[in-house]
This record gives sequence, structure tokens and C-alpha cells, in this order.
Amino acid sequence: MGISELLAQLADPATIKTLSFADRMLAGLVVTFLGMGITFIALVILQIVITLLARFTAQPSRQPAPTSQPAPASQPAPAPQPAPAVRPVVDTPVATTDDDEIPAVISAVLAMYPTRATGDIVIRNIRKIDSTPAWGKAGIVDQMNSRF
Amino acid sequence: MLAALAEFIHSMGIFNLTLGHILMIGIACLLIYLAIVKGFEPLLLIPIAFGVLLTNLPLADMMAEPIIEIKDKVIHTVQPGGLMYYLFQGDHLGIFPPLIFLGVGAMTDFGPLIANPKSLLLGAAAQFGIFITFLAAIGSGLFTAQEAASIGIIGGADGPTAIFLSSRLAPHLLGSIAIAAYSYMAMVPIIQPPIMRLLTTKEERAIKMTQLREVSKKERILFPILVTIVVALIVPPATTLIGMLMIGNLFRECGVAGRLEDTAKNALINTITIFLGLSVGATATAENFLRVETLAILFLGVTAFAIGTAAGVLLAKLMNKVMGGGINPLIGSAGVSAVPMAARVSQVVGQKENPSNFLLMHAMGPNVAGVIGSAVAAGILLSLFK
Repeated sequence: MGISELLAQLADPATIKTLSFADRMLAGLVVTFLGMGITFIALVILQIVITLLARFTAQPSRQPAPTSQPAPASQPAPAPQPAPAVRPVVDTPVATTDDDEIPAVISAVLAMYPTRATGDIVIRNIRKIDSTPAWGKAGIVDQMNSRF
Repeated sequence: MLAALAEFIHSMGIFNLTLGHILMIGIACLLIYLAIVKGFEPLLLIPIAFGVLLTNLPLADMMAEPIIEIKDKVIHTVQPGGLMYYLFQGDHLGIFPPLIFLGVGAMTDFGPLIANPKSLLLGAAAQFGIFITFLAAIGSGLFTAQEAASIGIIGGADGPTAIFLSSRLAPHLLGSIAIAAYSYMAMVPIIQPPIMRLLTTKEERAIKMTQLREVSKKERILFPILVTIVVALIVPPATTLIGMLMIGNLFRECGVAGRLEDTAKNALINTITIFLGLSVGATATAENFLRVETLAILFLGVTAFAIGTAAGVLLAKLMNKVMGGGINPLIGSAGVSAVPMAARVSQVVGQKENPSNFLLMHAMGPNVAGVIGSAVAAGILLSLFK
């Protein structure tokens, strides 16, 4: 029995019962191989397309503007500051019950913080502060007014 | 008088209640409990569970087909069908799942995937769960190829895709498959971490990944258009799902269709979720659900999830070795779709090993690639077994 005939029998609910266990498994393996193969091919082609897209739409990299007053050579370069432990103080006006999500979201926000490499940030503690700061209150009032 | 009373009693639901009905009402209440108290995908599980409840109330005929007769060349409706029957046509005809994808596209940021296209490989690897489970279901001898394909797709961890495929290939299993898919998606934080820890070393879990590059607006706009063209040309049956996903994303990224984006990701997706959830739940009648096959579906579904997770992690490990490091294998598990929960699991497991590790954005790449991957896999299964 050829592979295509085997697949046709597998696909037909009336004939699948007539296939032996070995034939069913062989047909199943062919489907697995075909399915994973085509999935990989499709996504690899997409990967190539996206890589090419990035190349064609790449913006010319900005040259850093030369500083008008270079620092005098005699001046010692500032020693690299040890990364301060960031202890974000979080105020969550909306009550939430999913505690796992809060550290994940805060970490993601800090990771996106543009002036600091992610390796420099260490989250040691996340705690909720009791009183809402004035800017926080102003933000909430602003949000409420814009919605109601 | 007594005859009228007896007739009335016979027309009461309680008189027609069977053991099957009682069991299904119990299952519906358990699902509602899990959704509300345990927080298992409540937005989906509540309508699904309530659909199960409604369809199993005797004589309510929520899923009854309409009875129509043609007399003197004129169509008469003898008895209109149940509400759930009409809502179910949205699933049966494959309308609701693509509309859900429209909303998902409008909500999804494909930036991490565009910035790191290698993520697509991880999204592909995680689809192994689908095909290995298909093989197991075929081997069990309990299922036809169409049913086995519908069960395997649970491993794609993508509810709309699972509903889309099973409504086409095995509509009678839709209820059990949808319940298994959504329950397991809710349990991703329980199912995945042990597998992730088992397959990785402490050093691998602590690997820090370099920050992703910024993605230009032009790339973000061209991405959905190109993906639609490429996928549709390779796997035409996947066009419905991918096309809707990508137009939703184009609404989001183009910057000139804010109102459409807003509708797609809020009002529309919420409306469709209610219809889809209720009608899918309504297919789980006692005679359809209380079968040995349902237990097999639940078992095979969790196997599919586990294999998908393992395949993603193992490919990420391999990529880390081959590409000279810099890839944390934990992001591989996010290749099963379950957006964004699977990516959050990668972040949480990674951060337990190294508190200064930020894997969330890196894991979002394989995560959204998994959505594309499972839609492609569904398209392949559809073309093989439709």
C-alpha cells in the first residue's frame, strides 16, 4: 500500500477501522512528519521574510554627535557607579489578587527603562505604600474625569 | 382535573431529570467555581460552564433544532430552534473563532517577534505536542483521524484554533475539546514549570538575554501584510485564522484606524466571547460528554501541553548551544500559545533563578509565534482531513 493510499484510508472514517495498528501508526507518523515539516518550513520562510524586512526598512544609524567640549584628558574618568538596588515603591490603586503578575509587570517596565542596562537592575523588594502621593491622586482624578 | 395535573407534572423539568443531567449540572457548577474562585480563565470558562448548565436542563431545549415544514411551496416554522442552536451556527460555520482572532490581533504586540525572528522556530517546535498527541490518539484506536486531529490541537494551547478545527473536523467533540483546552490553558502556570525545571540546568535558567532592538513603525505595519501573504501561499486553509489575526494587528499598528482597533479588541471580542463560550458549552450534553472518550481527551490534552512545552524548551536549549549562548531555554516553553500566560511563566521561573533576569519580552516572541504556529498546524490538519 502506497503512502498516499494509506493517508487516504486514514482520513476516511469508514476505512480507518480496517487499518492494522502498525498501518495506523505508520500513517500517523507520516502525518506528524508532514505536519511538523510544513510548520517549520512556513515559519522559517517567515523568519527569512522578517529578517529581510528589518534589513530593508533599517533606518540609518545615528552617529553620536561630537561633543563640542571634550572632557580634558587629565581629568580622571568617573569610576563606574555600583548599580544601586532599585526598590520600586509601588502604589496599586486597583486591587488585584494575582500576586505573581505584579512582579512580572514591574520587572518588564524596569527592563524597558532606557538609560539602564537590565543587568544593572536588581529588584530586592516590592512593597505597597500606604498613602497615595499627590501626583497619583491627580492621575486618578484625571482618569475618572475623562471616562465619566 | 387530575389528568391535567399529571400532564403538568410531566412537563416539568424535574420530572425528566436523569442521572446524566445531574452529573453535567454538577460539572457545570464545578467549572463555574473554578472560574470564579480559582480564577481559571474566568472570561471564557464562565460562559462555557453556563452553556453546559443551560443545555443540560431537561426540556429547556436550548440546543433544539428548528422544525420546518414546506406546505404549498411555502416554508412554515413549526417550532423555532433553541437560542443556543442559533448561536452555535457561529461556531459550526467557523465564524466566531476567526473573529476572536481579529480581537487577539488588535491586542497583540508582535514587536518582540519582529525584533527576534528566531523566536519563530520556538513557536514551531512547540507544535510538536499537537502531532505527537495526534499520533497517540490514532494509536489508541478510539478515535478517527478527524477526532485525533481535533484532540491534538489542544496542545496548540489556543482556544479559538481548537474550536475552529474541531468544529470543522469533529463537531460532536467540540464541548469536551473546548473545556479541556481552556482548563489546561488556565493551568499553564501549574503544568509548565516542573517540565521547564526538569529539562534545564540551573545555569541555563539563569542566562540573561540582551535587550531587544527597537522595531520601526514601518516594520510593524508591513509585518501583518507579509505574514498573511506568506502563510496563505504556503498553507491556504490557515488563511482564515491568520488573515483575521493580522488585520486586527494592522488596525493596531497602522495608527489611522483607532476606532476599528478599539472595537475589535473590546466590544467585538467581548460579544463574540460570550456567544462562543455559551454555544460551545451548550454542545456538552450528557450523552456527548459522559463518555470514555472524554476522559481520553482530557488525558491526551494535558499530554499535548506537556510535549509542546518540552519540545519548545529542548529546541531553545539546542539553539543556545548551537548559536553560542545568550538564549535562555525557558523562553522555549512560551512557544505553546496561551498568550500571555506562557510568557509570564517563563519570566516567573527565570526570575526565581536569578532575580535580575527579565525574560518577559523575550518570551513574548515565541509566545506570539506560537499563535501563528498553531494556526498553521491547524491549517495543515484541515487540509489533510477535511
